[in-house]
Amino acid sequence: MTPPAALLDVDGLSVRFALDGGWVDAVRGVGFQLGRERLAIVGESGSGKSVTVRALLGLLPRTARVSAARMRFQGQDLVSMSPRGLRAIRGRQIAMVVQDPRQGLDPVRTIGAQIAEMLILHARLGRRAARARATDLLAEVHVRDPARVAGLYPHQVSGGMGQRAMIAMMLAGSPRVLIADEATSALDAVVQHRILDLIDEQVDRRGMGAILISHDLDLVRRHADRVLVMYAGRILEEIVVTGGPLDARHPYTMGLLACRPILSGNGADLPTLKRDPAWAA
Amino acid sequence: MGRVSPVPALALADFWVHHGSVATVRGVSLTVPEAGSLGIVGESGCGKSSLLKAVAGITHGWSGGLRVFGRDLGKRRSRADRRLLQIVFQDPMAALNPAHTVDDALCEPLAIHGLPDRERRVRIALDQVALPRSVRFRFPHQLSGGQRQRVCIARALLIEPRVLLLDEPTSALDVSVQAEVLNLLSMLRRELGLTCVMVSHDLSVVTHMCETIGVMETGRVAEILPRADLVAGRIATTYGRALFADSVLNGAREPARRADGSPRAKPVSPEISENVSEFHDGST
Amino acid sequence: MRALTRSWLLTSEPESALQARVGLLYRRLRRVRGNPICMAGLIMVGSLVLLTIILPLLPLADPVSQALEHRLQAPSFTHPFGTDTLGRDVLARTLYGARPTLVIVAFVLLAAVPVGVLIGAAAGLLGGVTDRVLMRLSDLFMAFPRLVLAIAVAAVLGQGMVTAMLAIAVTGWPPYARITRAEAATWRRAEFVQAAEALGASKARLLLRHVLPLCLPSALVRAALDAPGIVLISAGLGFLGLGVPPPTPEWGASVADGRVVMFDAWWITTFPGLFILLLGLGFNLLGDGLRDLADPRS
Repeated sequence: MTPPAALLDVDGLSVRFALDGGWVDAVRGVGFQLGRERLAIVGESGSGKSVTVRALLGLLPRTARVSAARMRFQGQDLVSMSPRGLRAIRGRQIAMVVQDPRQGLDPVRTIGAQIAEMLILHARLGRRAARARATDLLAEVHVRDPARVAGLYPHQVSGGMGQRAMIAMMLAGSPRVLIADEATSALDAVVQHRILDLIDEQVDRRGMGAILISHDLDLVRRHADRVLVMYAGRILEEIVVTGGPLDARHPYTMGLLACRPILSGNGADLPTLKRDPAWAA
Repeated sequence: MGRVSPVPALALADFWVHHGSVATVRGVSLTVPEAGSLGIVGESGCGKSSLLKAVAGITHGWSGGLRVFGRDLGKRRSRADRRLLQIVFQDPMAALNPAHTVDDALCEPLAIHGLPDRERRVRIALDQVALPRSVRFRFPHQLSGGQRQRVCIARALLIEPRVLLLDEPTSALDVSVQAEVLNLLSMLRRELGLTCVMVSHDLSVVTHMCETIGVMETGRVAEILPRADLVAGRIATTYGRALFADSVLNGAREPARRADGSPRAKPVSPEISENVSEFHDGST
Repeated sequence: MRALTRSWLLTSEPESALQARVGLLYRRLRRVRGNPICMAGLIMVGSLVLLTIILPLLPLADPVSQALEHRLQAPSFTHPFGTDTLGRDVLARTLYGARPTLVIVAFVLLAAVPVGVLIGAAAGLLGGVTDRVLMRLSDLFMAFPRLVLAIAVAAVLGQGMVTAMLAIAVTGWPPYARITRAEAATWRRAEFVQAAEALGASKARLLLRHVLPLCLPSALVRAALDAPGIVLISAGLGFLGLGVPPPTPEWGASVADGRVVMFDAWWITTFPGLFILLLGLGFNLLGDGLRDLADPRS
């Protein structure tokens, strides 16, 4: 099987934030490649996973300093790209879905109008064509009665529906890469998997690459091809997903896997993670 | 033979909760025995959080019977009522006043209920939830998520309630921190003989902590199962079965993709209608 | 007694409530120092206030004594701002003229802000009928044009600083009530307020311990942004002859005095006018800077 062409190529990415008279290293020397596959970045809060992808897209606040040996999207260099260039890539070639759809959706405009706007902007469609295509996109993301939902406002739909609308919006520009940053953390358990199944389907159908950011190892095991485990700004290990239990080697990952409650457990105290300071070195 | 059954810790009879004109909880009746633990699961919008908040006396649009250890509780709660049951919220950052230190937060219940000996009680509370003394005068934004939730738990336990309501207490926490908090809750339950009612969307958490699990659907309790039945999959409700199927898939051994790279068909999980949410009970 | 060292203030493990609070205050003050707009405003207002306090110690001419033989003299070495129609030193009159204005600003804010904030917080927290009644009350007072009301009050109570303060304060509190009410209504739904309620906190406690302290930053910002308006109204009253009675120096009155000779003796109107501008601008910058900084979570 030919190796996947690299959509993203990152090496030596470091991000530090200026804070209260000092520096905080949020990301330290992270490197990875993304092809037409689903890559998961897993870590706890503060591990730097969100900061990593935001650094790629230039979405960090001014207090952040980004440096990288290499940061390329389809061969284009992202480190030296102008803000204008980054804006052109964001949303169109690399799209991101965030945790709370209500933050990404404008509360005073209907869902259909917002998707149509993305189509006009990124796919250069006319207004009428965009409206029609918006309804099509909603159908593609398995929204039942898409015409009706297109006329609704974000506060009128459930979290899962809102997330589907967000995904539809993000797909409007036919991006090459879709990033889901804890996109399902606010949804309840069953809906989470449905949304991720949807992302899987779209990735397959459109030949995109996807980066799934999550803190949930069980979730990514079912929806990713490779998993990068991050801790304190570094990547501790990379696991290729086989479908069985995750083949974790690093004690941190093994510790995380061990401390989850499982259905067949007996209610005894859960093992807790003993953090080794060496992991953060 | 002729033994009087012990008074249930919590008894709801035909409990309804309204948000404006919409009924989020419709005629729920259930009992929880003393030192028992009830878990409530259900999809977003099913009313589980509404139920908990109404029972905790935070929202007032409810009707029906509510008894804690035989004592009727109404919408207006006296201090003595408040000492019977307390609640721990989902997001510890939101549940703590950002301008109050941990010490302020812990002294508050003591001040409200006029309990003496504050210094000693605060120290004991911190020890009880395994928080070091050094965090006592920090502000919430200077604490980690797990530490904040411990403060919230300590605060709820300071006035020694007999029933503890928990609204998704670990869903905002990392999995390693969740394990610690769940262990803490188990220990406190054992030591203090607490009765717990826990709402969660995570079936494994609920089965770990609770002996009985209730599944809610559109405002009603669709079924109540003992843990053993749930673990074995003897579930009647659609949502319950879907949750169970997902939990089992989490332990699945089948690869998601076939050898040639094409995706394997997903196991058919029962249809869950993702309705446009008709009511907002505060959950997403 | 531990020294007030930087490390003590910035420690992440405070050992007492006092240390925690002082540390937080220090952190906030450091952020103020880092904001150039705020600092500029602070310096402008601060230096004027300081100047007003140390005035008696400065080698200034007497602002009240007349010297008709020296009237309408252009700015010179002996009179840096020139002299006015009655031969009085304009520099001295301008600097002394800051006093009535600053006193009025201080008193109006000290009267209007607490009243407005308290009313607004109560309205926002309690909701229902209380909210409606209090907000209609604030509508009532807000409907009066400030300057017109001030004139009316002055006409009834006579001229003087007390009149001015009263008139301006009476119409000054509604904006604070409104913004505090909006904030209180939001904070009311916060989970920590619900938690306090679940613990059995009374409404009074919720108001005073939780909601009010969190509404204060916005009120303070608003106060700083309100001050220029108060400066202008007070000057306006003085201009109309309704402020402090002569011969006490006052900016508005000085501007009025210089009106008739404005094109020949520009310095009489211009310098007091310039100071009105400077004080107003200073407060504006201070308010802008504070608005950038106001956030209890930072």
